[in-house]
Amino acid sequence: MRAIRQALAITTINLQSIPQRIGTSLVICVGIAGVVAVFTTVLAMANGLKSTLANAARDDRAIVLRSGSLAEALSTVSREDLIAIESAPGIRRTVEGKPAVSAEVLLSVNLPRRSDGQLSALSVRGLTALATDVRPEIQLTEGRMFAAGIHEIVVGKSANEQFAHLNIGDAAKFHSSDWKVVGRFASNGDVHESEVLTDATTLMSAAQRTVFSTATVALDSPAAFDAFKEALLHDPTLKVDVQRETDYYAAQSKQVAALLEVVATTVGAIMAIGALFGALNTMYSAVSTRAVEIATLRAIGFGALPVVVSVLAEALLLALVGAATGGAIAWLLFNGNAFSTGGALGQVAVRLHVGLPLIAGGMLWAVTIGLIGGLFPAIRAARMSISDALRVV
Amino acid sequence: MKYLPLLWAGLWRKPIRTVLTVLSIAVAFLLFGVLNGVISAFDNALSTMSETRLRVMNRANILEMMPISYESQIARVPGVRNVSHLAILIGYYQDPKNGLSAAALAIEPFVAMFPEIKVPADQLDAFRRTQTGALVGVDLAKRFNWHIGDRITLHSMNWIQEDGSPEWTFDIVGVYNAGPDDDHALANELYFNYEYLDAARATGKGTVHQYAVSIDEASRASEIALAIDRLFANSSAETTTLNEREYVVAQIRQIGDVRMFVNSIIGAVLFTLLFLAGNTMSQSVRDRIPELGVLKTVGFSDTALLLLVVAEAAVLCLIAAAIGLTIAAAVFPGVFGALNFTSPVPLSPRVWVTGFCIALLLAALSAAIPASRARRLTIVEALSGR
Repeated sequence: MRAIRQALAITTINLQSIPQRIGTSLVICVGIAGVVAVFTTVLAMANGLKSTLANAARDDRAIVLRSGSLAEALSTVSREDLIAIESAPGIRRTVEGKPAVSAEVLLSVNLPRRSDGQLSALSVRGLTALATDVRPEIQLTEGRMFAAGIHEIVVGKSANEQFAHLNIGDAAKFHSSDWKVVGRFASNGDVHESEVLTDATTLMSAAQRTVFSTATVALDSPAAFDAFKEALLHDPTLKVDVQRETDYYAAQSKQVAALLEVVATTVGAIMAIGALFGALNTMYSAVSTRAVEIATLRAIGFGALPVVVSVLAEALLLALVGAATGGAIAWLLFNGNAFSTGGALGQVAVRLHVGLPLIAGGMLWAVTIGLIGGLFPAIRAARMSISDALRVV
Repeated sequence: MKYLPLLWAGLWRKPIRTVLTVLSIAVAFLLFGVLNGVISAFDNALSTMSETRLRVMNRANILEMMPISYESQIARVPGVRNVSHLAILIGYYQDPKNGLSAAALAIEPFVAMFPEIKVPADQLDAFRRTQTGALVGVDLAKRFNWHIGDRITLHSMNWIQEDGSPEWTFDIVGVYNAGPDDDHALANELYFNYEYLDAARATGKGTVHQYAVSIDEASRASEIALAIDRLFANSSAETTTLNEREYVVAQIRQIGDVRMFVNSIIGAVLFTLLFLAGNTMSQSVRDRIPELGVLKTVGFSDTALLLLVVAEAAVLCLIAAAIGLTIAAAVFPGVFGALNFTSPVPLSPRVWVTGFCIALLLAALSAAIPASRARRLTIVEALSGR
């Protein structure tokens, strides 16, 4: 009990004296703020990427690609394949009693970006009549849907933000035609918001293609997937891969997200080591500044443990202030920001999400650095010879 | 030189503080070295690109095809020396994570146009004779442990054979070295015979992804590029023609804002560390005010003291930079290999030079305030420790 009272007393005095050594104390804050800001920002990119792709996926939908093609834009599905797919079991029926299968063609076209006017790849998805049944999350927010048979497109929210001249009323030029923008859509914040949509037949004739890219199928229920997949794989006329949408999109984000996570952890860890050296430095000098004070306290009967606690508490407090600053910087600068990633297959705009779990993770790093950075100086403070320290005066 | 012991003694006044400061700055330079190394490796790849070769591709997108009939029309454009067509096979070897792309090309124009691809004559003959022959870059061969005579199967994501199979079998007939500077980007490719692809593919027969065009004078590149694009304007497959350097820049840009991303991390790291070093320096000057007063008393000029403090900071930062960059150079090849999924390249000398320049700048910035303080000290104040 007494030790706790003593610890409280010393810690209070100690914390009150921080303003006198504000310069050195800031080293801990700034060092840790840097670690937390970098760590949370890079992880926010990874999380944003994963959720952008995961939002597009439902476990009661399946995607059919040509065997081994892995990515939608590289896959081909012919009209004959489509008929075979539509006859498979487990497919939900629309109100008119048709199988809810959306045959889609996905192309990339190069258009100028809004930011710097440089050409960048934009995904254009051609849809058939049943697409809105299969993908109810696609919601027009402005304008109207494209009409079949003429060169009209609707643009996703992110595509509109990333690319120039994609506002309603503009015309986008690709495949030797002018495509009039007639609407804007949102789609649950997912990857499709980085695309533009149009009529499949019109797009295929403009791009001189005769085959679709993929077929997306709405199933009766998530459980119907296995029967559906079995039926397609046993059809000798088909050479296709069948995946649940959830699996497909998880696989699409896996590699880049894993890379970003490795970068976040490696860079974060190396910076943390640097910040740790900074913290040790600060706390050693704090202890040596307070040498006389500590020795006096020890001389009038305070124990070694309260001294240790006071040093640790200071280190922890400074670390937490640093972590809060770093988290706040990341949040203010980057939360909700979009970055684009992708390749020739089409850019995906990813919104960074700096959420509580990330900040909590950053706090954990900060506390660890603070504890280690405070521990060794605290031990030195506790073992300091009282008479030597007082003789300095 | 005679001040060196004084400088050294100043640094070791508080050994723990000095060691910790050096280590934290070294860590920052380690990060700087690795991150900046990645960027300059990209730049390096760019500088080896030819400006006398153009690439013609479909205006809509690099993955869209063009008819092979364009070749004879391009060849007739004034200033064009040679034209070769390429079709790209995107695929993987054994496992989807071993991604690679292979180029199907016409052998004779390829040999004439890409002198930097160094293949022994007998291997080149074998390449001409073998329909399913493949030339692989030395780095790619190392990556998958391929040897001449091996028969390998690649899984294509964009081409299927007429029987519907996406598996393509190649016989490795040659291994090439790329360029005088061992261009690692080039040494990671696989070239095979366009005839093989075109005869066996189920769709897209008679179409190609790109034309490589060599021209007589680099100065006429943009004029010729325009002339080529004008040939196919308003056709069903309009073209974009870039020189190879612009082409690679466009490729890198597609990956995303890598450079900005890396530079912001470097910025955050260097800022943190400038703060740290500046603090240590001013603390160390503060502690030594009486000593500095003594130095002034025995006749050191104001400028000499200023220089002493700056020199101390410079030594500290340079030692730290040397440690950090040495470790960076040791781990960089591995890191780059892991990031780029290709074989390792050494840390570029430019990174070393930039690193040491930054170290000096860091020293100057962090010593500025303490050094000017040391210069302004009056002897009486300093000796009384105020």
